[in-house]
Amino acid sequence: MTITLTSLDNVEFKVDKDVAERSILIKNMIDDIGETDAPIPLPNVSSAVLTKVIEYCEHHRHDPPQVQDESDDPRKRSNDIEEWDMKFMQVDQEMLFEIILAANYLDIKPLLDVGCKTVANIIKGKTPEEIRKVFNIVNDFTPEEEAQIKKENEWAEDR
Amino acid sequence: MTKTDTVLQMPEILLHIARFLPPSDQAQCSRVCRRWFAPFASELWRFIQPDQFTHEALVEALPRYSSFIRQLRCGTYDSLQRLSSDCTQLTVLVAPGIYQGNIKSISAILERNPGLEELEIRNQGGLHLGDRLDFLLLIASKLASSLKSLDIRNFRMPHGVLAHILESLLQLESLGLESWSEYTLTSKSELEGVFSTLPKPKGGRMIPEPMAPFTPTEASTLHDQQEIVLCRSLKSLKLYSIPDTLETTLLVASYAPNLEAIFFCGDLISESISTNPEDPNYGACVALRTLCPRLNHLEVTEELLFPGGLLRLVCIPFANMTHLSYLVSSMDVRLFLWFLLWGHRYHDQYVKLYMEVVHSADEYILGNIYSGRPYVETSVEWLDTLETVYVYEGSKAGRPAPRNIAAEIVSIMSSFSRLKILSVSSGYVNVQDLLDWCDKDGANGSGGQEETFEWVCMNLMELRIAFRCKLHSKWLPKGHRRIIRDLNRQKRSACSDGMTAEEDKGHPVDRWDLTQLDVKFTLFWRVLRLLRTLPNLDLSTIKFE
Repeated sequence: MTITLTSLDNVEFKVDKDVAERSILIKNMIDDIGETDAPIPLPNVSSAVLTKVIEYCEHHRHDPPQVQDESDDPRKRSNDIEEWDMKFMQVDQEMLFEIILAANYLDIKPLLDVGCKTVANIIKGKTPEEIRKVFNIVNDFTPEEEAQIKKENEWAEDR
Repeated sequence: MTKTDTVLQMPEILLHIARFLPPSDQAQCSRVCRRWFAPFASELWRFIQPDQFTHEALVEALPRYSSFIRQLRCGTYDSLQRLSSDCTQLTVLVAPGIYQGNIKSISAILERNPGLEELEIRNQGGLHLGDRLDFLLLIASKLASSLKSLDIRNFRMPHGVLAHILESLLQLESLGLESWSEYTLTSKSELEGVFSTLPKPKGGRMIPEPMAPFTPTEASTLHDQQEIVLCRSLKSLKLYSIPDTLETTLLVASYAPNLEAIFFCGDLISESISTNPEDPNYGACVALRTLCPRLNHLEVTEELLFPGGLLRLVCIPFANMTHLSYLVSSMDVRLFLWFLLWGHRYHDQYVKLYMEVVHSADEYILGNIYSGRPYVETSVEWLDTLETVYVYEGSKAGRPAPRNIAAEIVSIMSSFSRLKILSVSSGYVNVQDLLDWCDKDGANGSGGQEETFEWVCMNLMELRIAFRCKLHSKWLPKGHRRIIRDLNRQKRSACSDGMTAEEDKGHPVDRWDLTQLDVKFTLFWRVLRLLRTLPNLDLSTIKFE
């Protein structure tokens, strides 16, 4: 069975049900309204991003459902990204964050994980100033405040 | 505003990113901007374990970060005075040692963290009975619906307190007791005085009767008594240095019908347990089986106690035991084998067997039990289940020179068809003996039949034993002496030809050494060929010395 999805810019995408249901949001919608031919509108996702997201879901359509592993592993790893996912994430920064946003909205946890891991890898080893520069963030701390936070968290710096 | 900006202002996404970063990067991120502070700092401060390097800095910063902390693991002498009152999210607390000076603040922390799941507390000493009691009762009442794991150390309490704790903490899955003892208050009125402050547990009895030590018959009928509230979630019990180990075990067991694992450390069988049904200790072990039919994991760390206790305890029939771990004191490594091959009479379902061997001079006991032919008696049912064998040698009580255990290893490898891991840290395998053993059936003195030798343990994956080669000429294979002679001759001529410059410098070439190496190499190669017939064995786990 195929599902029709409509993007923000009114482009229609026909995808298989099992691919669409990688998104928990869509899965719940289908469960709620039952099987229907009516297109599902996704007003938060542009067609460019939706193309990417569908590409991801198609590649991972046969993955076993993720085990809920919120348990005690205190430090998750950001360097265990699959090779295909790594290539998939080689996009410009704006697209990367659009994918994260879409994955968050559509509730596709594995995609959200891969996106956040990619961002984590960009952040790794950088100073706050370098991070601000990369993401174009304005420093709204006073120098005293920043110095205090630095002092309070110095213990973690070689960990 | 770009999508980048949008995403980087969403706390839930920032938190998600923070989870994939190491602490050093989390610390950097926390001072990028105001929006980033909470998500990254909360992840950084989620698990806090002060150590000698970070203690001061952590304590200094505690007031501002208390609300982020989920797991706090303190050392005995850490101070919690600066932990602010918005620390309300704790799920794990390893408290510092409790004494008169900090019991109030630790009680306050327990009060405001009703979601605590794991608690470890140690009495530092000097507390009044009333304070100790209040403290334990606070745990029993405040944490009744959340606590899953409780570790209490060094408390001496009146009889009935442990029972009250067990009746109250109905979510408890794991209980650890160290140096816990209970004493009987002399009069009923004294008992009432102590327990008058107790809240009434749901459906539980109010004041426990002053209890006499359990007897097996009493224990086995306990379940029939209606008024006992059972702690059905309790699966694991750890006891360290408890004076009345069996008694305490039975007490806990009588509240925990689903107990699966018991860990004993120290002080257990200071007196022996005989298999005589008249022996109350034996009766207690049998009662334990009746009370906890699911018990399948027993670990005993017994140090320097009467060795007979070991033998008799493990011979007590526990029906479902699949894991048994034993620190064998005063025992020889060979005893392990005795146990392995005789234990099946009582235990027929082992999957994992873990023993630690500490040597001392008590080998006389072996004379009584070790027949000298350890690999004859076997039982097919039991041998079918054993998968893992570890033998470790402790460092206590003067360690004798390691022994050659080739015969034992061969007999183990020829007995257990499901064996996956065999690891022996004490003793070594003399490769010549190993090859001799494997050669016996083929009756082929010249060797070279390794590839046709049939092992039983075809599933073996890991073999962690030191292989050594101590040459004695008796063993050298036919024709080998001539090869050595030839080699030596060649080397001698080579040395004289090239005019041995090294010898002049005072570094004599050890001719014998080189030939020994040759022979060793040949032997090790044969051992490898022998082991290569095991399809799953990881050859890199084998150590040649």
